[in-house]
Amino acid sequence: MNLIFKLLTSFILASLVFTSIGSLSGCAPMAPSTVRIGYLLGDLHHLPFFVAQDRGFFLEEGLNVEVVGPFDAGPAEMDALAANQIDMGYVGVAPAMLAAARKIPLSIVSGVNLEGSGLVTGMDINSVAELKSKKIATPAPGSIQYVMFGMLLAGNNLGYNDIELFPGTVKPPDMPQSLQTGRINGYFVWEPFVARSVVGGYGKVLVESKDIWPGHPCCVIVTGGDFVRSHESTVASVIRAHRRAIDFIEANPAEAKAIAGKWTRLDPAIIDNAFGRVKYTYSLSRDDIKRFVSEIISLGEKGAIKPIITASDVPDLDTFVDTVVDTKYLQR
Amino acid sequence: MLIWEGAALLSNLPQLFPTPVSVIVALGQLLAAPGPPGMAWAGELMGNTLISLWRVIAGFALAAVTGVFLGIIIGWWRNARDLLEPVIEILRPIPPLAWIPLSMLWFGLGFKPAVFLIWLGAFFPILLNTVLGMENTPPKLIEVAKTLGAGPWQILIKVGVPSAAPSIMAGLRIGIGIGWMCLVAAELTGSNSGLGYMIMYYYSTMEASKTVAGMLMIGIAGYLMFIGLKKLEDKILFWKAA
Amino acid sequence: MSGRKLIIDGVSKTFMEKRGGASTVALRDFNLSIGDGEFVCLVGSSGCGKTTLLKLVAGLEHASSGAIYIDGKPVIAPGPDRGLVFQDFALFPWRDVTGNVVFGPEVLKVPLAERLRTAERCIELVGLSGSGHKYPSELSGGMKQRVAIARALANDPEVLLMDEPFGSLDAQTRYLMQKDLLGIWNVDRKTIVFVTHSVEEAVYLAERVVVMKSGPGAVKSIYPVNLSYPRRLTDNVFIALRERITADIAEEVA
Repeated sequence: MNLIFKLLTSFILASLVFTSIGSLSGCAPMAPSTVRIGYLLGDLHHLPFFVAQDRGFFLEEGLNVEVVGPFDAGPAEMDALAANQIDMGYVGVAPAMLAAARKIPLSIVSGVNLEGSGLVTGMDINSVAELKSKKIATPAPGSIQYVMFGMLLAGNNLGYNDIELFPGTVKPPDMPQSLQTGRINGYFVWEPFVARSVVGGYGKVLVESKDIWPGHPCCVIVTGGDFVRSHESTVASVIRAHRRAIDFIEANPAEAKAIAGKWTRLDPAIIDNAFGRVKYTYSLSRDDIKRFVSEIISLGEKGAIKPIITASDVPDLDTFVDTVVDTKYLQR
Repeated sequence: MLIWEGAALLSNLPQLFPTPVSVIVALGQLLAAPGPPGMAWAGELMGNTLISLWRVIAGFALAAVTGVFLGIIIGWWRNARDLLEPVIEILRPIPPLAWIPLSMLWFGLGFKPAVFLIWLGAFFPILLNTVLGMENTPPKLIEVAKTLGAGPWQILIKVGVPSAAPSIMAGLRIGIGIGWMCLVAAELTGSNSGLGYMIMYYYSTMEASKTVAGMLMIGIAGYLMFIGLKKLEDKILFWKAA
Repeated sequence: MSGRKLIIDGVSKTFMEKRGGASTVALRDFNLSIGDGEFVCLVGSSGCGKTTLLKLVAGLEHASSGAIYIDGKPVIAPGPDRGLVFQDFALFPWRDVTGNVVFGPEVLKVPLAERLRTAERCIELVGLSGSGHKYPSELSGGMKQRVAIARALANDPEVLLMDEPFGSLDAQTRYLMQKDLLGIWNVDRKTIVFVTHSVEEAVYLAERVVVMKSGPGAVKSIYPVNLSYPRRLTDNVFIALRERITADIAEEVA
């Protein structure tokens, strides 16, 4: 009897703790003019965000942007979105769709870039087939690079068991050095960490992500489901600033590169090398995004990646994509 | 359990707050799924557990040997203590997590840096408790030993160390607990196997039930090791029983 | 004074205060000589330096001046020729009775078989046969002290030093131990220096009772006890001597 009482008390206490933690993370939304935006560590794809911030485009829209991050990989950023620690985020489309598949309410409201990732290997490797049993690092499972590496494997009749994969435990900034010291044989990551090895002279780009899927969508802007409903004008303002930033990059590459150097902390030479591989655009292709999701599903079934999203997670793919992708902000 | 289930359902955040039922289901899935590379036969859960177990044991064993050895030296000889204490006191407060980049730099990926981090976590409590045990050797016992003709080395080994044994055992117990707690941090150092890695993997793919299942496994495994050590302690310190 | 077993010659001991304060003179010019096989008790009021003297003879402390000789050889360090028994037993808790008793021969590297025999003999001498495997935590106070005595005897010391060894035992056990100690001394005639607070105990046990004065400690008076063993506490001579010695100590304090 005494034991049961003790167990009951500890369960009550434990669940009280859990629910209070749960409710703490769901704190009230910020004041209208402040918006919390997340981004990824040293990710050249997110240059429009850096530019908009540094050139004051957000301020000119009357926005007070709280920069949150940087996050090591997409899934961590989506977790923060779900926990209401950020309102909007620059993130890869794959983690965004993954989060949506896990029933986290969010909307994809703008594109950020296409392409711009690559598989870097040591100078000794000359084909994908040679990757067998080699050590390859990627960002966390669920990231675009992880998925695209799977696509590469599938296209070469390899599965994830054929590679000694290190998803998520080598941080992108550490990847070039790990290659240099021979700890890993290759890595698949976002720019500018691809360029770093090239410029450093100890790595080469075996495959660019655009070679796997030309024009593939990469990063997007997402916003939490509640936020977008209650802060439509804020979201619109953010996207306006974002579009101005993209135009700016197009018109002033030199200045844009300088800003990139500042936010990624890498040399101009590396930024230069990387710049050409990234295509900035705010457009969203609903069909491409749908293709991405179905790729994730089929890659899991083929054994090219460990299954992340299964067919049963998204029984109606079309409807699923339509509930997530919201292009109305781009029409304004 | 029911309260947990109820609370989880209420919060309506299956992503952040898995229900116990889903965790049990996850446990089952993980038991059945194929194991990590090299341990496919053991299933994902047990395979990763065994890998982590091996790392923790290795790190802990290293910490036990180095911690007790250094602890005896520092606890017994004042000169050694004066020399080494500042170094130790500076290194001690640094959390194992902070060592991750350096660890990867020195040791690379996978097994070695993980063992290093676990060693770091377990080392200090073992060292400190050993020092304490040696320092608290009752002076009377040392005097008695001297009058019985014992030389300085004999006093160290036949009086100092046995007298310190309870403290040393306590240090070992604490050390292995901390070693387990460092597992997740340790396996962030470029692992691609083990319970810590598994937990982070499923955190990334947002499969919370599997994450919690992994955490549960760490708790269980750690607890079992703790019990094992306690049993060993009871055997060695039998003279306290009566 | 040569040919005596234990000679304490003009020994003084000063303790320096650690924090640079005043120093304490514990003993000044202490002189005593003790013959082979003699049983001597030291008595005196608290703080007269009885324990300090014992430690000096044991070699655990160094005299500030003067010297101590055993069989003519100066004492400079602790050694197996002087056995020591403490009031709080100081047994090794992780060793059983045999393990404790055998400790001395063990560290002196006596071969295994021989030292086990020695231990067995000493255990028997103190009346604990059959208890060799028991641990100190299982023993009563009296039994523990017997083990301590056996342990001290195992090295066959020249001199046995005992610092209020029965002080923490209850009265009954104490009487028993006193009798048994005399029994042991009868069989194995060691030189014994026995420190005690109890004048009655001193008169019961010793051939000579040395009264120490305090501040600083030195020999005040020496009383030979010419009673045959075993002595009776109710004997008139015993009582008279006891009262004389008690008065002697008391006038010291006044």
